Amino acid sequence: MNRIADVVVVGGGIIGCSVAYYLAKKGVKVIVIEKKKGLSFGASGANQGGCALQLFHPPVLELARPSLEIYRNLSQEIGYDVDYENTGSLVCSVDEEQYPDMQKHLEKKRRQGINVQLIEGDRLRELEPTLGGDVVAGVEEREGGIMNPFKVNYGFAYAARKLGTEFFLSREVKKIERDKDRITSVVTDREKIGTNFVVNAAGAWASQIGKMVGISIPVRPRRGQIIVTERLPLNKRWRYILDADYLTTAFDLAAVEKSEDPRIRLGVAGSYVQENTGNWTIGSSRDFADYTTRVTMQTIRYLAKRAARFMPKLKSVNSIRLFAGLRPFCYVDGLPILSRLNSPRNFVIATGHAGEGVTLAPITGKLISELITEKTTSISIDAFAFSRFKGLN
Amino acid sequence: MTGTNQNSRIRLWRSKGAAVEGIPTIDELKKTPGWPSLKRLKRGPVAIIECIEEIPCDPCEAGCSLGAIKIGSPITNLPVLDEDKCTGCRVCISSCPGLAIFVLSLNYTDDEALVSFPFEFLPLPEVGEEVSAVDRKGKKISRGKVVKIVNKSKQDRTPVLSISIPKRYALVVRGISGPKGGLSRQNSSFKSGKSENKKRVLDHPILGRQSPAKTLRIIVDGKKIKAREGEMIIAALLSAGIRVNRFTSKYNEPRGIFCGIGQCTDCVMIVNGIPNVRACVSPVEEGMVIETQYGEGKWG
Amino acid sequence: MIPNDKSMRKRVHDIICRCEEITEREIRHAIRQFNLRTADEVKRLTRAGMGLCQGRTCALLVEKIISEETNRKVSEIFPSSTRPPVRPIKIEFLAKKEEKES
Repeated sequence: MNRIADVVVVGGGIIGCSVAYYLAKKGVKVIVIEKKKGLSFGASGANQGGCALQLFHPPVLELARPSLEIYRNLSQEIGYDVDYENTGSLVCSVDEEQYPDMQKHLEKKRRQGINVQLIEGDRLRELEPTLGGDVVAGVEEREGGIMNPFKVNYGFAYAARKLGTEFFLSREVKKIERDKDRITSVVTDREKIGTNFVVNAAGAWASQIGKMVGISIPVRPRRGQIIVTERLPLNKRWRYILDADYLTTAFDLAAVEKSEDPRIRLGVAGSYVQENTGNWTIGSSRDFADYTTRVTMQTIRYLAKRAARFMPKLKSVNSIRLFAGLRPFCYVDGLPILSRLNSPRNFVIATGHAGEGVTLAPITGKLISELITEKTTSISIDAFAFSRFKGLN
Repeated sequence: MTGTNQNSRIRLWRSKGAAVEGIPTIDELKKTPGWPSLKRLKRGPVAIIECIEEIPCDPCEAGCSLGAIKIGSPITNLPVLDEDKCTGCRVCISSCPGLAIFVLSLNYTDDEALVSFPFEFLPLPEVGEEVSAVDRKGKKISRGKVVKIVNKSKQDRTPVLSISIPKRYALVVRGISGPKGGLSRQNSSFKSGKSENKKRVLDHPILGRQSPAKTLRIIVDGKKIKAREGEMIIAALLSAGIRVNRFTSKYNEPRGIFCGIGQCTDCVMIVNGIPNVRACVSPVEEGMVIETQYGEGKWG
Repeated sequence: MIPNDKSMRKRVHDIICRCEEITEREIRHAIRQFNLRTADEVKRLTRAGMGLCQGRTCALLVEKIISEETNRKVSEIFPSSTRPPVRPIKIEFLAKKEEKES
């Protein structure tokens, strides 16, 4: 069977569907190809659904801010409730030694223009009695929030479908055909789609798509494991609580690999999100284990122990599910890759979001749609260009 | 109305078959190797094995001491009746766990047939009692009379009843409807404990007498309840007449025991301050404090 | 017969997922709205199967509904992914140290 589209998006995750939506809004005919039986089966369906603004530094901060702005009205815009809640976030430490780091973090964020405040341990416990005695201090920011990642993913897809986007599920891309430096069509196991553009939003599998056009995309899967608990009454003030170590595990790969602490080497740093139903998701972990999504008892043990330090009442709470997901991690510098190539000149990469995919999905979709239809973007994405990987291709 | 009588007789032979209703038609049964020929049926009492499922099951083979029932290999074979070896002695009836073996004496009298079948209900009727004869679906077909009841210990608590029925229903009637007075007669034969634990069954006609156990006290929503050591929380609650364990988060609906095996989590309650404890698989302890769980319950 | 919207309106409260109290109507609407075909997707968008019993009670019911809505046999529906733990286990037990660890 032969089809024609303006743009083929490879990957039905949160990035792919966001790109499809923003393109469809501009009247572009999009076909999304997804190898699994449904959408959101990669990292998009295995995360906690939180975005804390204070975790970001430039250049990603310049994307995170407008992305959060979009989230405030996203449900209305796409006509589907994504359960966005402006809960803010609290980064706190359980070690005395981390206190000076909390101060530095506070100052850095203030300089970056994020509204933050430092709260001492006793005051924290007054405001949020579930926090434990070990908590020394915390930095609070009220701009971030939590949302339901499945609903965001499907919401974008639903809105895109209403605007004419088609979703081809259970299809793997087998070949990408080109004529000199232009891609002409994408071949799956069932059809051949002639197209003007290909967007690689394949997440952890982005490098495999890159190979099909002869380029090496430095993205590999970075596994994250999560414990889901039974429902509990909602926390009063903070439902998105992070371990200060998260700033290391998520953003400093070298420090993780060199660390003497086995917990840090597994990338375990507390990240606790309480959904609006009352379930807590307990994360986070970061390790490289190829494409497996199995959980390991060692990491789960660290996750549980760390959680018990931040909120001791969790000790007597039941966990009802353990799962893992694969973040698309750019192992060169950990930054996303948002770029249009020179050769082939109609191949666009939109991946490498690592642990920030849900936060950055709206702005990514918007910018990629601009990149394709207008050639320039409303926010500079030079820092995320593919050309920064000199010597790789 | 005579019209309806005609129709109901015709309807007897119009059931839709095993695959649709779970109940085989006579045509389906006649195709199985456990069904005797009409010639043999006319000769005298003979077994009818109404087995249509090829499952791994063979107690009937050993249940016949004359070797008239064969399963062989593989064990999923349907039982084959050797109608010449079969004397209609009725010993095999209680050997089938699916209660699928009957003995029919077609020419018991000039106008009656005698159907023998397994009957595992209590109380057993008495010889000479008039009963309602039912078909394979449980629908009443005709009147019948209890001719014989055999309940030997080697039948392992599966009594065999023989009833006489009008001959024309011989291929249709396979049981009797509940005993006169229904299930309420069963309750009176149970020996119950003191009035406060009226629902407790201490001496069950089939399961036997409960072994002695220590009495514990548990507190349910502030009230003291007696419990037996070793039993689950839900049992103690039911014995005190408490059937609602919690109210749901969304619609505030009452929930109690549902699956009873620790899977569905309908029966969860707050036990000693911890919510979401499954009452059906958690044993009682002395002084346990149990509370009705509203929604998520309290956290510690 | 697959309920259409009119007949579904009368049956407002047929609960399928007892733990999360998800009605049959919600599940059918989600399947229709998003063209869902797998049990995992239905779980993620309706929460049916995310409760305490993790789908033990409702999984077959949900698969039957999906089979009716998408016109496939139940045996063709991909079942929801199963994950540990086999039954709820307290965080403090997950955190327990082994003798070998310091």
